[in-house]
Amino acid sequence: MNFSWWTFALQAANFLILVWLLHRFLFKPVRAIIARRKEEVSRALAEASAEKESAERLKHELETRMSAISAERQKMLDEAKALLSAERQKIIEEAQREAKRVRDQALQRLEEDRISASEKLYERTVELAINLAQRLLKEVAISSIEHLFLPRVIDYLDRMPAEERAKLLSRNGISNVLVTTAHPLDTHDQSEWREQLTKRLGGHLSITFDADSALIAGAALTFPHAILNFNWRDCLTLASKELNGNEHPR
Amino acid sequence: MNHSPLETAILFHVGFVPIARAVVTTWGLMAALTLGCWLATRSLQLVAPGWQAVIESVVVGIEEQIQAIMGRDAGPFLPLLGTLFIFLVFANLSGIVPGVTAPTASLETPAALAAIVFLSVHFFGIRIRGFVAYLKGYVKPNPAFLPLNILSEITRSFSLAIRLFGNVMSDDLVLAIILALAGLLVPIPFMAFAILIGLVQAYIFTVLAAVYIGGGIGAIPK
Repeated sequence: MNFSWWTFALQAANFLILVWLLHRFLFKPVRAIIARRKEEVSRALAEASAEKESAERLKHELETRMSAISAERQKMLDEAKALLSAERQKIIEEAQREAKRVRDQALQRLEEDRISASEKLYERTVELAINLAQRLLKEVAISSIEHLFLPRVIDYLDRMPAEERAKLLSRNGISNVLVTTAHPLDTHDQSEWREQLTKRLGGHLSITFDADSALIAGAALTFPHAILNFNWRDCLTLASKELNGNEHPR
Repeated sequence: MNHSPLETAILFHVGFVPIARAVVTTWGLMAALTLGCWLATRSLQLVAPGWQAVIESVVVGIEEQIQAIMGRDAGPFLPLLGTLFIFLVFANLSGIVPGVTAPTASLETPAALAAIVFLSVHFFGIRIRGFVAYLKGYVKPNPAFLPLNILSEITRSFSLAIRLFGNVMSDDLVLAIILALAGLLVPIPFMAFAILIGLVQAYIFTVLAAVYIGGGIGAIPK
């Protein structure tokens, strides 16, 4: 057995060269590609993790937004319900007010109609009463009753102040006075009327006489500026005005 | 095999330097491995096709094995130990190719590899642990063990070389004898056995080298 140191040295050198060659052409590129792949995988994982995180955050935001939307929706629904309820209540109250107003108006109209009818009935009653009184007074009124009214006229003129009495007459001194009676006066009665009137009103009177059955009974003295009624028609007219003018029974 | 397996077959001389058969075979293996690696790794892709996956699996497998033995990052040791394993696999298996003698069947080759492992232990030990701390490892557990530790370093390197040389050389010798004595088909089981022996020896040599280097850097108790 022999041992070649040259071979030993050459093999050692060969092996060291092979170490460099395999490191250069095998281990280094393979490790590099593996490291690069690991980096890519790590980067992809990091990106995936970031995207997952982003997706989680987005999901969380969406959930929060959905929750907010849900809450907002519920709030809007509640508000709408409250608004509708208030509106409904308002409409109901409005309708109730309108119904009350219509009912009040109807009641008022009914009351007014009732009052109007009552007034009409009252006026009709008064009219009927006046007519009835007129008819009755016409039946009881006779021509001799006329002289009963002269004292009343005399009394009225006597109680009238002088200045008032002067106003009845014309200022030029001559006054026409028309004495209208319900029944025509005879000559005697006319003389008495003329005498009594001249005595109270002065001497420059032109007294004429007329008859009007509408007066029922009594007389009407027509001066230039005034008319003095002392007859039942006037009384009935006054009574009618009085009755109609007073507050009617409701 | 028409010469003694214990003698170095010199094919030619370059000047006064004798070039042995094992050296020439080693050059051929180096060329083949370099060319193959260059072709395989010149266009590596992120998404590995089938052949690239095989290469990556081999490299990653060696790296993981070294890491499992040393218990630390295998990066600094991968070129040496990875090359050692790959070279031994191809060198051991080259013996089954007709007309080729395995370089590891020549004592100089395992001796050179063992010497490189021996020097690597000190190189990595001093580089990683520091010169003083590394030397202190030889006087543990007490200075009385210094001669024994030095002797152990030398003998284990010898055993590393002799183990590989003995196995591969004897395997080649047995295979040659069987081929000479038996017919064509009889050596086939022996050739398969030779493949197994070659792979196992490559693995053993690499693992032991890793263990020795691991011991040198303090990653593995001696």
